[in-house]
Amino acid sequence: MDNRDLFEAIGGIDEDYIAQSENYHFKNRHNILKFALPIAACLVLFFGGFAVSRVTLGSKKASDTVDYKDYNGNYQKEAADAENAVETCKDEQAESAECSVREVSDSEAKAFFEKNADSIIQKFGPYDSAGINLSGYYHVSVNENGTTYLNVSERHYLVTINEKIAGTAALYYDGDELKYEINNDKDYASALNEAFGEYHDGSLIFADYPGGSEVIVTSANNVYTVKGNSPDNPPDYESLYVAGGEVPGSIYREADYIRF
Amino acid sequence: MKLEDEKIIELYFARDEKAIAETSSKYGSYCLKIALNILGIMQDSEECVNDTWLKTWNSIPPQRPRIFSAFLAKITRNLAINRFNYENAKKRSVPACAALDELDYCIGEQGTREDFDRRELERIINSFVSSLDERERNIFIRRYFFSESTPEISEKYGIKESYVLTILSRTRKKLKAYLVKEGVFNG
Repeated sequence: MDNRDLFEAIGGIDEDYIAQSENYHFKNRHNILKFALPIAACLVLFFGGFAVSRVTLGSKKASDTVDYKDYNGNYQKEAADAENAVETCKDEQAESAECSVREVSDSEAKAFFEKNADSIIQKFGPYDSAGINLSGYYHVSVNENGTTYLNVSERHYLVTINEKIAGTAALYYDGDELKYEINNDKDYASALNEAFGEYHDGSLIFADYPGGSEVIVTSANNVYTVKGNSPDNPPDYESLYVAGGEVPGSIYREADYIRF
Repeated sequence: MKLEDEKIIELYFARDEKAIAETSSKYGSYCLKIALNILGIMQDSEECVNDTWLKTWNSIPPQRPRIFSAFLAKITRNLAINRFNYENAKKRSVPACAALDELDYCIGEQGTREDFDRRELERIINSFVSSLDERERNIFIRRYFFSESTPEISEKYGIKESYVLTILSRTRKKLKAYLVKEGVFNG
């Protein structure tokens, strides 16, 4: 058996799963509005006794989970019905449960990297000087009340070689076992280097917030971000925004990022 | 106005050639994308899609697809892989090579049992896929069934490409462990 046999056997995957992958929507579990509105729809359904025909979320419908794209490229939207809203609530409950996985603490990360840094860095190729920045980053959620820490279950650390970003190492718990995963994809590292150049100080934060997300690199005095990471708003690594000044405009509130 | 899948399938059962036109109208782009993801050459992919319509015509009846889109996807993929094997024998570089290279990790240097037949391997893959959580499963299928690139998956699901890469890497490790557990490898 070789990789081609494996590739061919993957063709036998159950048709239900294939169809699901077409219609699947990667829900942003930190999106407060998407969370709140389906819950509200459930309450209306429960107490009001009538079906909720449509719930709107800005210009989008809460029925995003049942939107699908027909195969010749035309978006077709189905109205959110009561059953759909209830299903969404169940999904959100499941998502919440998923968020309760074990967190990796600062001290655990530090101890792990002190022990394993050499073997991890070896996987990024030859180097003269390399490092894993222990500032790390993780997901944060921003709402109107300020910043909320969420999903610290997986922490990502920048790996630098000769002061260039070479990729990331993610640290997470699989059951009770602390594991790591590297991302040494050259295109990704190249995009980060192009975007941030000499500005990064090795720490990087990925922020999720209602309507989008950002990659954030912090330095001693500034916050740099790359905006956009959604089908409607793809990442634009060419645009470098600096907090508090033009290039261009003030786009980032200090309260929205976390340094640690 | 495109016909519903059930009605298209009825056209096949009635041996009405409009079935092919309706299938092509509704799923032409979908099947072309699948073939193109594997073959990378428009002309070859278009021929592959035409073969898909013929194969579908010959398969229905007696078969009655439960999920028509997935049924067509499988046929297109199989035909594209057959053509891919032919092209690869001629040493032409095609897009599916990247996905194949990634799957190489799951095979590794270990010797595999020669008595493993395709059907048994499919059962193991299905069992593995059903053990994944929804996100992992969908990303795995987009990459290794549909041969979509990681930027495409990232855009489709609205997530970071680095996250897609991380999930894929982790899933390949799980698959390798699963294949070991199922006794695919010697020793």
